[in-house]
Amino acid sequence: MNKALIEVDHVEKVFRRDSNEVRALDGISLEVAEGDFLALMGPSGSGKSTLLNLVAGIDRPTGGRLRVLDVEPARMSESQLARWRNEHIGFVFQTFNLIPVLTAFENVELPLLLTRLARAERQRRVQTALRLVGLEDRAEHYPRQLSGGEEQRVAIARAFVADPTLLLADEPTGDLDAHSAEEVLEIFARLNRELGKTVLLVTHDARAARHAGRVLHLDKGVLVDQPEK
Amino acid sequence: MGLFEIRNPKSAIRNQLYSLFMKFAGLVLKSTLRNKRRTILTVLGLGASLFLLVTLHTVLYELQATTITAESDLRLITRHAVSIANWLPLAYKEQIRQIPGVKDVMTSHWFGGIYIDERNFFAQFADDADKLFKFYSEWRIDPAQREAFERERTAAVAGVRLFKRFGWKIGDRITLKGTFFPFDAELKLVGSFTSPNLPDEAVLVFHYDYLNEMIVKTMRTRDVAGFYVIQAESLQAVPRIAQAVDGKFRNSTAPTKTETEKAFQLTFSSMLGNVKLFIGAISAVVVFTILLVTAATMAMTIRERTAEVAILKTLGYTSGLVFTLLLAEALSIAMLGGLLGCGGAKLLYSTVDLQQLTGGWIIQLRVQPEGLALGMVLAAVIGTAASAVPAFRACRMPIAEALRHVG
Ligand SMILES: Nc1ncnc2c1ncn2[C@@H]1O[C@H](COP(=O)(O)OP(=O)(O)O)[C@@H](O)[C@H]1O
Ligand SMILES: [Mg+2]
Repeated sequence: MNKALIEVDHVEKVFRRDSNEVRALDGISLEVAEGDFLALMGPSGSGKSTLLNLVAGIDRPTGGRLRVLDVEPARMSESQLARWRNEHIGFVFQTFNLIPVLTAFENVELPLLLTRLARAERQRRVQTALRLVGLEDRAEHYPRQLSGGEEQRVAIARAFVADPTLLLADEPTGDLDAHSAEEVLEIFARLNRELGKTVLLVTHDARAARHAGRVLHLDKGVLVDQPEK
Repeated sequence: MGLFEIRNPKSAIRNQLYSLFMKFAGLVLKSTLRNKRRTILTVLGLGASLFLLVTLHTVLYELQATTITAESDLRLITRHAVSIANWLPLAYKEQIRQIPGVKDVMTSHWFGGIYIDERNFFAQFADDADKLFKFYSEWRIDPAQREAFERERTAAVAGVRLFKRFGWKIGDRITLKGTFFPFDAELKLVGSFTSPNLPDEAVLVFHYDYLNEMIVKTMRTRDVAGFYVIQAESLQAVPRIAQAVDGKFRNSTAPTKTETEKAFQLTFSSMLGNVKLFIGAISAVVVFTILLVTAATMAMTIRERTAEVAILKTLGYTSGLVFTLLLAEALSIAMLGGLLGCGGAKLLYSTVDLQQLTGGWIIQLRVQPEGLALGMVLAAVIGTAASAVPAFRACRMPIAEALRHVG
């Protein structure tokens, strides 16, 4: 087994709002090795997004230990985390991924604007990324001119254009028809297979599991054995 | 080597700032055009308000504008202490001349006649013809025309602006219909003059002797003056003269008020202090209102972008950078409004013939560089103040929470 890129060790996340307490993650432990394609499944509200957010360093655990790419996001400052995400993490959301006033090209270029890459190099990389998701001819299109599936593919291109180690996706096919969903999943599989990206994909779509090397099930904040089989 | 080490970081920072600007200029620009109608309305609102502010500033400036000529500093005006509408005995003229420091005294009367139509308002004075161009030596007139003016009893001279405004030619005869005088002034235009003080170029002057003759003929009074213009021998004499004149007539039936010509013009354009206060109050209300409106718009614009802010931060944009981008966006909108308002005022007031437009009440509005600077600074302040709080809030919100807001 390859070296562990993500180590989740008895991680807890409790949301407190007024007197209410929601235990979104209840002492969860798992490891993701470099090169893995892991699908995280489970019913709505089971804590999948919460776990993904912790891994991406856009939220902090309330207990346990979390190591991602040899650092502990919980111990880093906001600006350190921002920089770290820019370099190492690619993230795809279910919806609201793209900036509507920017073209597909400009959306994909966004992470690269934070790097020292020259304009020509940025352009080359964006084109490569768009080609990989099969949208090189849509570079100048605006999000509203793209279908839902195309939008998600642009979002994926943006997620890996800066060549991160880890790709995280939170229900990226949740809003898509079967055909588009298949295309999107295929792209993740290729990124994992051909470029060696480690992929952690949250879904409650059983099809996604077929592309993944490993499937984990989450329920009420804890990992469970496959419930349906 | 040492030099380079000191210099390099600085220019590196500058280069970085430049490339940062270039990189994100497109993003900022496109964001401002996101909701075109809202942006246009905001720009227009800001532009209109700043146009009004620059106008008020300019009006204030013109009200206080001093005649730059040294000659005007030597002139004093003596009028009735009660009001300009009360006349003074002609006998005062000789008495004033006796006062030490006084070089000469000229009789003057405000005529206030109507030329064809009431809208054609302009200033008309009846002065001692032989003294006019000695007192107003900054006025430039052809010597032959001046001579003609001094010679003919019904002759009149007028500033070049009036000639232009009414299409007059030398030799034209005009009638000024009397308003508070029961007679008309039938005048012949014999000369035109220029002045470094442009409002003077919209003035018409004819003979006091002619006016007095008509007064004697038609009214039961004689030998009155509207006011006296005093020419001082020196600047130092000016305050002394004012005191001496008013002291002399304090206990007479017609007490006087003497002040410098500049101060006199200010009383003419109403109580300047009050005007200033009034204009200041209007300006404050305008600024405050536009600030509120802009703030509401900016808050809405930024709140709608909660998800985008979260996405940018997920991509690795720091809160500081996102804040800067949002602020830059608001600032560009505000500065655009500023440019529109300030530039519009400058352009309008330098191309439109205000004298024609306002029927002579406003001769000119010279927009001052300070007025423009004030407008642009206010635009920047409004843009910043209106967007800083919502932008700060949006950037400080944790990504996870921001996503839940929309998702
Ligand atoms: N910011 C938050 N404040 C309060 N409760 C939250 C917050 N985020 C998530 N939760 C709660 O935590 C639980 C897990 O949420 P989530 O991770 O979004 O589930 P999933 O992605 O599996 O649908 C849910 O009960 C949800 O309501
Ligand atoms: Mg979720």
